[in-house]
Order: sequence, then structure tokens, then C-alpha cells
Amino acid sequence: MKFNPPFPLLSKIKRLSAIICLTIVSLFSLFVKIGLAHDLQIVVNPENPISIISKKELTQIYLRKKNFSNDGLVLVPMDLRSNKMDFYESVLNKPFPLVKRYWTRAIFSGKGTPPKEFRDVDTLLKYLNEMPGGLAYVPEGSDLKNLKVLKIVP
Amino acid sequence: MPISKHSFIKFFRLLFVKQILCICFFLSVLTFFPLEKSEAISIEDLQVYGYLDEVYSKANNAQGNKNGSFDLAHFNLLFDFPLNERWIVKSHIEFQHGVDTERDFGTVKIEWNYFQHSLSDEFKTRGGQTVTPFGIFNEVRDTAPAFLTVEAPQNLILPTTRGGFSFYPEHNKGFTILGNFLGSKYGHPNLDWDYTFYIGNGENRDSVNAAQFDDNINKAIGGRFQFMYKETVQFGVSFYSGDRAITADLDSVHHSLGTHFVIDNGIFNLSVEGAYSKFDQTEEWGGFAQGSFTIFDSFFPYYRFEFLNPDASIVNDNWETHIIGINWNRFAGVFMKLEWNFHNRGINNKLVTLGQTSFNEVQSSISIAF
Repeated sequence: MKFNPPFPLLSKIKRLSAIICLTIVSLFSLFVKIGLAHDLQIVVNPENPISIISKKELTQIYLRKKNFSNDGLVLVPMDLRSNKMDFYESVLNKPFPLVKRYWTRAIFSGKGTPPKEFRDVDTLLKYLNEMPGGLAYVPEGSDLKNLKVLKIVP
Repeated sequence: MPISKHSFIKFFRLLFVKQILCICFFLSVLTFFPLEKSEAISIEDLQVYGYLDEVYSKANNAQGNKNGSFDLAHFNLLFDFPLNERWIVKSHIEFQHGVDTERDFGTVKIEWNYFQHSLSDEFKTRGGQTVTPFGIFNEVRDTAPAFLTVEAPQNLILPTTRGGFSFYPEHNKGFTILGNFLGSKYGHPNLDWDYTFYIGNGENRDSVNAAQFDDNINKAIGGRFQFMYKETVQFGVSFYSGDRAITADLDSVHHSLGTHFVIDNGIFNLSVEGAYSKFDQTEEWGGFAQGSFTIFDSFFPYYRFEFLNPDASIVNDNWETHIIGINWNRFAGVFMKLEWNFHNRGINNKLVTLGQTSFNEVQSSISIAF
């Protein structure tokens, strides 16, 4: 007796096409995810002596566990509203809901205050220029003037 | 009257150690950390946070809320005012149970109001009123958005509602030193630890405001030390030591010791805490264990078992509570909770009436953080 597949449209060729399509979509999403991470750059005030920063250190600074540089400079991290979720998920590898819950507990226990949040890049960069320990993430291509871009290492 | 060796030691301990510590804290903050106003920070840096929660609860008999009631449990406002990069003034004001001073309902109180100076991550000082750092929950005792259940474990943070006495005063009025050590800075990349140590007025008679005047010479001390491994496992110990005697020749010591343990991998959370206290000659101990899961980053089913032995010298006065519920983080800052509480008490617990030792209670709440 000849076997008839329950879904005739999914013939051998079409199943193969579906697999190829799914693979392309998956690769594309991966590409988009990687792309987001590389769209952002970490910038600091030119008075800050550091030029390289690790992901772990960046996470500690953004969760306000590390508030002072090794030179004793007071670190002031800043958030950019439009890119906030991308930054925490793609750069710091922290699920955004987890970060929100962390701050809910930290704020309401008096433990800490989250980074100051800015709505637009220009205001953020102006503020960053005035804060010697300032540190922020901005989209690539922003007009940085004399600010310093940090290299991120794993 | 001859001075005994014991009373001399006590006098020395109270006056020369605790009092000098107080003076040192006060002078060191004012002398070594001058306040300099920064050009970059202005009134725009004032940050305001808050939360509100409405609770509905209904019990099956008169041991709980038999009629079923809606309660505007909290409306709290928090203010952070950074004076410069190192100094910050923080305030937290609570309006509880739909406060109405005209009719003497509800409460308004300052949860905390202090200044903080940060010399480094490892050394910060606070002066003013703070919430006593003890265990996992006391610092967020009323902050419903910060925990899963409708209420924080009442057997530890408010044992008076379980027939016991407080393990520690809710607030401390005095000075605190605190700090955190990042292991990566000290050659232990997976281990972080932090400490809090405080000295303050401690407990007073109920009629005397400890934020204004101490009615006894004894100063209370306390602290908490916590270790965190790989941001997943946390272990901590807390202690409190005070004396509510009005004069030094009387003895009304109050010592408490607690320990807590938390495992949280983002999906599963297990929190366990235990505390022991001795006040005068009464010994009390209690604890809880809570497990919860995270589903789709929004749903948090939980179970908690609470236990309190209000007086170790009395048999059959324990209070046990089982709580099963779910917390739904509907969207950012909004939490909806529904839970079932089963309370089981020994017949000798002083809050048992009408011979009803157990009762069921359904509680539901909406908490909004902003």
C-alpha cells in the first residue's frame, strides 16, 4: 500500500525548501542580534584614563556595584532610553526583565540608584562632557567631539 | 555603695566604647568628608520613585479578615537627591492603610531619611534614620513590588502579629558604615561580599520617640555580612544587640542572630532564612523557606513555609503558615498577585481566640512601582 503523507503540500522538495528558509531566517536573526551589539559604542569623558573595559566591569558599573575607578574617580554611568534594552541584552548579556527586577529591589531597599537616563544623544553627550567619571553607550556614528571610545574585551 | 567589677565593666563598655564610637562616626563624617557642591549636578538630578498597592483579603473565620476587605495598603514616595558625586540625601515616606489623621486611621511615617557619603565602594557612611538591615526582607518589608508574595514574611519582620516580639527594631537612628567588595578586584573573580554595621539609639519605651531622644544610656549595635558566589548563591548573617533598660543598673538585654541563604539562577529561586532572639529571659525563634519559578519572564508561582516559636518556654504556641500563590508581572512595574494562606497555630499561642487554631485566607493584590 502506498503511503500518502497527511499534508500533501509538504512533499520532499517543499520540505527541503522549508528547511532552507528556516535556516536563512535563523541566520538572519542571529546576524541582526550581532549587529545590534556592534551598533553601540562605549564612550567616556576624555579625563578618564581608561581605554579598555571588560564586559564584567561594565556590568558592575551599570549595576552600580562598582562606583569608583581604580584611580579613585567617581564613575557615573548613563542610560540612553532608545538603546537601553539592546545595551543590557546584547552588550551585557543580561535579560532586561532581570535588570528591571534588580533595580526595583535596589531602589526600594535604599541600596542604590539606577544610572541617569537620557532621552536623546545630544543631551547625554553634553552631560558626559561635564562629568569626568561619566560613561555611556551611544549608537555608532554619533558626533562624539572630543569624547573617548572604549574598547570592550570579553 | 561599693562598685562591683561587673558594673564597672558594664559602665566602661557602655560609655567608653559605644559612646566614643558614636562621636567618632559623627566627627569623621563632618571633618574628613567636606561637602562640595558640584557644578554639574542641579535640582534636575532629584529622582522620585514610588509604589502603591491595593490588597484584598478574606478569611474563613474570625481569626482573620472574615468580612473580606480592600486595603490601600501602601502609597510610598522615595526621593534621591545627589548633592555631588559622593554625597546623596535619601528619603522614603510612607502613607499606609489610606491614612486619615482627622479620624486617626492609618499611618504616615518616615521609613528612611539619611545622608550618605561614599569614600569608596568599600567604605560608605550613613547618618540619620535607616531601615534595620537584617536578613533578606526587612529593608523591603513594605515594598510589595520588590517581593513575590502579597506580604513579606510576617513571622520575621512583624512577629507581634504572630504572638511573638520583634526580633529587632524596624528602624535604626544613628550611624551606619557599609561597603561592598568586588572579588575581581581582590583576586577572587567569582566571590563578592558586602557588610553593614550600625550604631544607634535602639529600642525605647513605646511613648518615647527614639528618633528624637534616647530614654536609656545603652546604644544598640548591629550588622549584616553577605557573601555572593557567581551572582547565583548568597549567604549572609545578621545580628542585633541592644538593651531597653532605662537606667544602666537595670538589665533588659535584647540579642538577635539571623542567617539567610539564597540560590537564584534566573529561573529558580530558593530563599531560606532563620532568626533567633532573646529578650529579657524570653527566647524566640523562627524562619521561612520559599521556592519560586520564573515562567516567560512574567509569571512567578511560589510556595513559602513560615514558622515562629514565640516563646521557647511555652509548649504548643507555635504559628505555622503555608502560602501558595502566583505573581504576574503584567508589564513594567505592575504586579498582580493571588495567593492562598493556611495558618495553623498551637492552642497556647496568645492570639488564638474562640479555640480556633487554624484559618484559611485568600489574598490578592495589585502593586504598581513607578
